[in-house]
Amino acid sequence: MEAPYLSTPRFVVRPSGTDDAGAAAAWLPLPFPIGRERGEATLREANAAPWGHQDPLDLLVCRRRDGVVLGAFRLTGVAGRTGTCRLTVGPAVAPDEGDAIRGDLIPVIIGWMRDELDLMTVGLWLPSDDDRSIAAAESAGMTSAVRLREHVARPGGRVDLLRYEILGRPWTVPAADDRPTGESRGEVRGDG
Amino acid sequence: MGNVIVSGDRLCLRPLDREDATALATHVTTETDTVMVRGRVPVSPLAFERWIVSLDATSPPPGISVAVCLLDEAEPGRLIGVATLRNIDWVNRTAETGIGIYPATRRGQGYGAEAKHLLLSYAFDRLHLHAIHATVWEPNTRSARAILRQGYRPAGRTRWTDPRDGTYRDTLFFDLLRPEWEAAHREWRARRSAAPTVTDAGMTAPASGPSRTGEPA
Repeated sequence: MEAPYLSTPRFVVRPSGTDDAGAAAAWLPLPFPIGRERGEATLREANAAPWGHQDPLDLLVCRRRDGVVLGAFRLTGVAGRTGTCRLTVGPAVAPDEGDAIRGDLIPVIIGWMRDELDLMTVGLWLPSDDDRSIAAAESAGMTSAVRLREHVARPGGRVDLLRYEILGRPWTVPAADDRPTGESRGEVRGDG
Repeated sequence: MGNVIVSGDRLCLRPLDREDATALATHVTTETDTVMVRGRVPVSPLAFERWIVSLDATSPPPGISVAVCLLDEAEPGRLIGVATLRNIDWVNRTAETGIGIYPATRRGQGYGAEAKHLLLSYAFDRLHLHAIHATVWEPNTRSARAILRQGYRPAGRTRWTDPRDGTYRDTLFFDLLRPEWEAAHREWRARRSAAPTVTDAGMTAPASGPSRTGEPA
């Protein structure tokens, strides 16, 4: 069930299903152990609304070669047209592969949210020591907007939490003369 | 007064009860301040009942909302607001703060500042959080000034978060670390001792967040 417009030669992006219940450590952005039963309940709750109305929306990241779930993007606020996303990479993913996910997919997801979903703003929260994600965000045209000091705990210390963002394209309102017949000010559209 | 989780000079914080739903719905539905909210929307007591019941649904909770009540002898226990810690990150020990004081006639009397100090005391001393942040909708300049007075530092802005009056407006971010709060708290206590009527008008109004209906900012 790959979303081809979000996938790359190395990674598949797709919605989740009950078969993913046993891989919660990879897709859930929490450090707590989540068993299969709780994982399935979480997935059902996370997929409650069809037709693109789900908020937050979780999209899984899988290795194309063998289909293993490696992580997930969580998109929030899309309905309000100010979307934010976070990337979770599973704790068992090798560092090189995690960096590859960030480098390949962050520009794709950000570009899709801005240009196809046509959001006013797109934001991405990142720890300040995640150099690969920061580089990917900047390559997607994002700039640093917010720095929350010491908001991320690391072994032996703390680092800042950054919000990168990119603005949508400015909207334009067509002049009245350019509107299709029947939609100019003062006219009433009939129903038939 | 029972079930108080933290108490100050004039106010206390206690858990919200289902019986508070009507008071909250009345306050929100009769809101007179148009600057502090991004559009007023009437809300039913049923919606607040459902929300209050949901506050206890998970443990540890992703957010904590409590009632701000008067200790005043004339009106003991009267609910005048809601204090919120939202988006609590129990692993990284962070959260976002919000205070709403109702009705508007209660604002500008220092209640918001005292409620915020009680909330921060609870966050840092009881929950042992490490860092706090807050957001303010850009047009709400009173809230921004008040947050700075409480020791928060500017952390940036997210642009175009809401359209209003034909233009896009931003949301301002502020953050606060424990040592900064401790210093600000000492200063606030000293100011209150010197002038018990010190006010902090900007602390009282909703400014940002997912709700458009007066949710604590």
